[in-house]
Amino acid sequence: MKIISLHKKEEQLIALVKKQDRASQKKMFDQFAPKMLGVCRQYVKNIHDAEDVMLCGFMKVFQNIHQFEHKGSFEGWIRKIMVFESISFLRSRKEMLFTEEISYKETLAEDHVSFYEIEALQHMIDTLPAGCKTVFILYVIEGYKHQEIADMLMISEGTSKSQLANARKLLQNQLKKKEFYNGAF
Amino acid sequence: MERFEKDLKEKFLKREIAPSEETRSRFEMLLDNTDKKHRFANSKKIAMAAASVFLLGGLLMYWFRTVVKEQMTEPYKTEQQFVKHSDTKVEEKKDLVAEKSQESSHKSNKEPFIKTTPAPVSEVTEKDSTEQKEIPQLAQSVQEITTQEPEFHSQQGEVISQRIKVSPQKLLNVIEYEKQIEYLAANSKSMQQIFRELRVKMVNINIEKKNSDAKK
Repeated sequence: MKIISLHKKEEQLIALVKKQDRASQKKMFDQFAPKMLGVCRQYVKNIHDAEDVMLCGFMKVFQNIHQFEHKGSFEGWIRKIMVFESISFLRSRKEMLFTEEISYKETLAEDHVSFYEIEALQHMIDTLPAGCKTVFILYVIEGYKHQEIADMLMISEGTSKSQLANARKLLQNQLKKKEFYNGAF
Repeated sequence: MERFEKDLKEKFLKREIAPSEETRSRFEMLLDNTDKKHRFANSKKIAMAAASVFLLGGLLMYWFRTVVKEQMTEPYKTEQQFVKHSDTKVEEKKDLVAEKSQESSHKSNKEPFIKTTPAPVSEVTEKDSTEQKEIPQLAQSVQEITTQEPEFHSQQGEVISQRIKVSPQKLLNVIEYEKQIEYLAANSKSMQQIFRELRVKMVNINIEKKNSDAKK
């Protein structure tokens, strides 16, 4: 019953946002902004940039909300917009390079953060090159297939696979150094 | 590595980062701007609609003034109207022709020497006695006319002399009138003579017929 009422509330909210109701827009922002900022932060290193990306993403949500056909979840739809917005941001910054060379920055401050904490994991992923990182997040966290990733990033399926392999190698090296997931490898 | 990826996925999907106050205020500003843009777009649309309506109204007025008024003033512009009008005109012409033919037939009926059939001899003989009485009366009337004519002319001459004093144009008119009167008088004389001669001839013919019949 609770799920049905929540779904109805969400539909009402969407209907009001479609009518460009400002209070509803704010309500929607308050409801989804924390999660969407987390999504943007996965791709964008700087939190301020991630906030900018999120704001742009929300503006796009409000502009194109009439295109939402109530087929999937609304959160998933917004999430997709945020992912695309983040990728376009990285592309505009020319940070997204798909090189075969395996290199990473050792900026992880292991003394300050625990590996159990999410920010530490984020830091670890941030050390990866932008191309590898994006493919890794899209494949591992968002659950996209290689073909879909290739279409999104306008690369070949092979490049997507190789980028994922590179990302995994780099992360394995990092984790070996930290000796945290020793049992897992 | 799989374990790590699973942990990462779980944590990242549940991850929430509260946006700063600055981002909230920026979001509100962005909403304000979009509202303004939306309003401006709406006002633009309304203005465009109003302008188009005004233009259409103007065009309609112009059309009414030019085309409709022309049609009102010139009712035969459209083809159908022209055809109808021509039909009515033809009918009117037909009516006129019919009237004229009727008039002409009436006139022709009035003329005795053309249409009337010659009277039978018996009727003519009956009329002879009355005609013989009428002849001296006719002769008398002719004589009276001939006697009265100079007096009439003299009177006309006086009138003419009086009119001459008035204006030369009138004099000319009077001369023309006089000529016409003279012509008519001459014609009337001749008609009277013709009538009398015809009468006389008819009477002679009748008498001859009677004599021949009597001889037989």
